[in-house]
Amino acid sequence: MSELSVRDLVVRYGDVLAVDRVSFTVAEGEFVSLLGPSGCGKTTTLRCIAGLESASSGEIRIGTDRVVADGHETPPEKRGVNMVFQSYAVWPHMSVFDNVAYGLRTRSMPAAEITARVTEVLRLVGLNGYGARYGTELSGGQQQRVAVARAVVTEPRLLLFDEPLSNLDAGLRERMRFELLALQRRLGRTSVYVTHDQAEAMVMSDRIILMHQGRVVQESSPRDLYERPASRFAAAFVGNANLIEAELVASHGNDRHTIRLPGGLELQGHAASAGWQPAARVLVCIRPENIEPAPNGHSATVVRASYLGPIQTVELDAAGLTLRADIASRTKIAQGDRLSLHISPEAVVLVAED
Amino acid sequence: MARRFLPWVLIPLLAVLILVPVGFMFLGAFMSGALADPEARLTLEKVAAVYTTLPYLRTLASTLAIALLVAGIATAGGVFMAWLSSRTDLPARPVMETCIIAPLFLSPFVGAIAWLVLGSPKAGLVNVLARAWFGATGPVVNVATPAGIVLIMALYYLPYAYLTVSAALRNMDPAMEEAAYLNGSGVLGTALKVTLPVVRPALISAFFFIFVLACGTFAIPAVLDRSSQVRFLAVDVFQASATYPIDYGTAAAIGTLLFWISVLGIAAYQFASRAARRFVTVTARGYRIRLVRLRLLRLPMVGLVGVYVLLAIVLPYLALAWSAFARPGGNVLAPVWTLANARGVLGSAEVAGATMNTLEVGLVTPTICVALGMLIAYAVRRLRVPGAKALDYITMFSIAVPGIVFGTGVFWTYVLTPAYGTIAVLILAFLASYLPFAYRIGDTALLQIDRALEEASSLCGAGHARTLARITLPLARPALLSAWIMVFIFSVREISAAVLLTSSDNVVLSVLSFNYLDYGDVPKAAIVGLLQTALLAAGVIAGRFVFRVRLARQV
Repeated sequence: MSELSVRDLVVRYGDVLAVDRVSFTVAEGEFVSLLGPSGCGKTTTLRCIAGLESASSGEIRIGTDRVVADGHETPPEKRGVNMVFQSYAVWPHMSVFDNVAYGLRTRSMPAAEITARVTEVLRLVGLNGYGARYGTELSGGQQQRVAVARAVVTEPRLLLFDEPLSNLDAGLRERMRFELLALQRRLGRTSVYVTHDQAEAMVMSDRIILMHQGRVVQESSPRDLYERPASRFAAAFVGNANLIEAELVASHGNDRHTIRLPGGLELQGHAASAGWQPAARVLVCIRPENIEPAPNGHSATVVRASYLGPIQTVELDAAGLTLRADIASRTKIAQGDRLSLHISPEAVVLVAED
Repeated sequence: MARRFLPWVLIPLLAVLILVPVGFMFLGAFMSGALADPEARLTLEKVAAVYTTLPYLRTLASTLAIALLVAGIATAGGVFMAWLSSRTDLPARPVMETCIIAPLFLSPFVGAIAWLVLGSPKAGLVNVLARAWFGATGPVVNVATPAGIVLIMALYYLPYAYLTVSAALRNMDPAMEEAAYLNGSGVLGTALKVTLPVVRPALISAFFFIFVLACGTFAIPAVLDRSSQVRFLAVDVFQASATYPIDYGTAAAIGTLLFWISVLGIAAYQFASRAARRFVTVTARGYRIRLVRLRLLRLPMVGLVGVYVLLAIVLPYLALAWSAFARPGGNVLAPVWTLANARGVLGSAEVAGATMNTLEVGLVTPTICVALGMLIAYAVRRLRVPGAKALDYITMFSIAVPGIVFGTGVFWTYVLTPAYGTIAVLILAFLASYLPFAYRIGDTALLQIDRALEEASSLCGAGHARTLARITLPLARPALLSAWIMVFIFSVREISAAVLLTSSDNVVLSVLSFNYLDYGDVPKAAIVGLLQTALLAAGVIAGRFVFRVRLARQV
């Protein structure tokens, strides 16, 4: 039984199609990310789920309630969902306690129970003792925790996150990722998380829904999204990739293929889907970290090497083809060196053109 | 629910408040007599006279000339003061700024009375002293001349230009000026070639705003030039409807002429403000711009601001005090101080009545005005009600209608109803005039409240009403309070509509003071003027210190 289901959601602003027939489901307790570049429709989709934005057509179900269907929309306050905003939206004229208690007071809960629940949630997010402070007296990270506490205290059926970490500095952002995830696991709330940061989506999600130009382009586990991108966009957006137009020389069944890169280099590779024909032009994705120096491999010349600490990123010329490789820094590499390279067939992925 | 229902309440309400009076004024301009007159019929006579015959066209020309001069002088002065206070190391700048904008919170009408005391050709204090001390023969200053009227109007409208231009200067990216310095421009070159062009749209919008204000000004020319040598449209409207032979149709016709001038001026103003917004280059970096060192010019510049304050505030209030507390007819050089006159005036029943009326108008108008303005802003910006555009236009429309024009329109609208001659009719006229201010302040406040703050509330389960009451209104409170204080000040000092709508029952302090002046009793007018100023000061002080309102940012 899915907790959230979005079917054929369309949002149109005049002539612009912001969300174009988006469909997906989220199971109970699952943590799903909507990932994509800015303007891909992920935030609009999330705001439709929350009821803050009107759908042009389509259906949204939360639990058994159809909250968007046939032009009818349940107002946000009646959907039983809550949200952590990008700007935190901590009310500056209320104390931390009042911020968190707001949703419970709206439900006319007895004061003693409100105090107990707010205190418990503040402890959970690491803000015990901060109840009397005002929002403006807190740091960004603390405001973030208030926003999270306020969203979970009402025990929503669905917890929505709109790029909640994008306003934090890098170190804090990394710590908060794990804290948010731990909290979500502990509470077991069904969550939808919007982000443009692939690392964030990778670390936190059970499943990632990749969006581009208003559409869902891939829906898979973080590992599959990275290792088996289904399109040029997916391969290029998530991580770094050598994307090379190549020729398929032979197929060996089991989706194993031999391909020839421009310049004549022949490699073994695999495809995520069936239906590839020999002699076809194909797109090949090779992650830079999968190009490894090894004896008796393909030979290449180092055009440029940049030292980044743990790794060095190396631009290689392999028979006229430019490749980028990330090689561990313990191997010393200088411009002009000749290297012998190994590329595992597992690392060579045939990708469909968009 | 509220979304569908609100426009059906608000649009008719605004129409009655704003459009109907203007409509009735146009109707009145085409009537041969008052509405109550059974002989009255439609005629083109009055409009034709006002729009095509020489005495009126001459008045039009002199009104335009005076208003343009006032706008030019006030804008130039305001720009220079704004540059001084935001780009130079002028000492005690917060104090200087307060001094420059202070006249905004005073009554230009009371200022005009004071300048009449100071600078009338024969009995003016300055002229008396010049004769006594320096043996001057003719008048040294004479405020009952075009130059006097222009300069005193410019004195009181300068702060508007100052505020507009200094806001533009604050929003300007300091790097632009720094780049000019690095490219070899000096202080003057940078100010003239970079700073001034960048704030030019703000400057132009200030110019037209002041032009419209000046065109509709009634009090200053009416007070300074008692014999009406200098023709002015707003004064003509008053004279046509208040002095013999009374001719309400001509008053309305002149009102329509004034209305068209204002519409044109406001159109130019809005065009320039839109351009000004395009020029806004707000940067997040909070560093301060390098201030120009005035060095030897520091004291002279302080002196310049000092002279302004002296002319706009100090001298006028000294003159009022002299007029109020010196025994009448005594020697100017050796005045005999007395409280008898003041006691007599303040103890009189008419002053007590006018004070109560002023307070009633001053408390009711801002309260309704701010509530209505905020409701319209909320309906337009947040609820996005159907007809939001129409609401916005109608509300902002009255910015183009000078007070005296509204006075004429409200007169024609309510003259046959029992409301005529009551305080209610004054409040109606003031509401229509000041609604755009309250609406704009409310709108800006909403614009500054992050929508996510309200969305978070609805996701926590709160409906529209609860969100408005618990989140939006508390966050908008400072803006609403300052709007209230602003409209309070406007209402307490208003004279041009009040003087047209006056009866024995609704005399306010400004009208009472004007009446005393009309009988030639300047000391009484001065005492009532001082009383009115005390009310204004109480409002400003309450706003500043009790509610901690920053008034200067809201005008």
